[in-house]
Amino acid sequence: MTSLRSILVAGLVLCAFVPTAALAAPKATVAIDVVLASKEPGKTDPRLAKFSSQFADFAYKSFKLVGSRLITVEETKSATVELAGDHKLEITFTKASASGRARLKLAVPGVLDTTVSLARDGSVVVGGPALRSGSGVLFVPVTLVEVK
Amino acid sequence: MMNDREEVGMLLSAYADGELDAAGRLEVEARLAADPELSARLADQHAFSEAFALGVEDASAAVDFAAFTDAVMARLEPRKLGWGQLVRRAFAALLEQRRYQVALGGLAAAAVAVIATPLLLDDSGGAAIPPGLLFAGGPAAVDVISMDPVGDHETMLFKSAGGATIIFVQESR
Repeated sequence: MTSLRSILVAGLVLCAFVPTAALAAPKATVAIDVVLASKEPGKTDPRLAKFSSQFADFAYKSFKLVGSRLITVEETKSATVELAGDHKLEITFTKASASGRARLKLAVPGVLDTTVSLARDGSVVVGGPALRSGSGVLFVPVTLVEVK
Repeated sequence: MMNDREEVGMLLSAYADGELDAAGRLEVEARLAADPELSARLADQHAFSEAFALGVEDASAAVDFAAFTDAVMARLEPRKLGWGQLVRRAFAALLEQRRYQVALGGLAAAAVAVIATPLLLDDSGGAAIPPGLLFAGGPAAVDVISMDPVGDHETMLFKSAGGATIIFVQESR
């Protein structure tokens, strides 16, 4: 019965503190889309029509949506998203402003470190990390969905 | 010694029902043998008892007791329990057997799982969503604060024709 009491006490303690901790810091919800761009002619994913029109100035001829992720990061915490090949994107929610903007540090290890401030629905595209196979480069639109 | 007929007559009912002791029975039987009138009264007594027993049986057979219990229960008014009594009754078995500790532990664990699961999922890379969030906001929604290449890379900041902000990185030539 002692072990049962221990489990009970531990459960109640967690119930008491986890919600408090969860509500204490703001959280940013971020959408990450991973697009593989190639200079080889090919089909462009119809879902990327809006995206490809934004890149008319670039020499890429086909775009493929590799994946989409939606993550939530607590202020001062980081999350990592697998992109493609060996590339990863580390997102750190460094600061929330009173106006609802979020300051995010975006890092592609070995390639780039950048810090941006995004308003709600604001997007920035991290582009150019090349795949080792030579089959193209990645464009990674990062969109702030909300800060709570 | 009984020497009065009326006194003996009062004992006839008890004699007929077998309620007298041995001495009383012998005395009554001696008087019955000697007194035909008393014998006649005893015969009447037996006849009356048999008629009464038959009458009771007939009367009970004529009454339907099948719905008796239901009729009695229908006249009882149910006692209304308060919330506290209802809760105590619901958990009486747990409280008596001390299983409430197990039940509370299970509830606490379930609450922790419900709270912690979304947090763990968020920190583990997120969940897949359908695309459609590309460039939802305007150009003013983006400020680039710093842009530092790593290793043999160089960075460029573009604004596309549609106003999208692009941080482009490529290997140095």
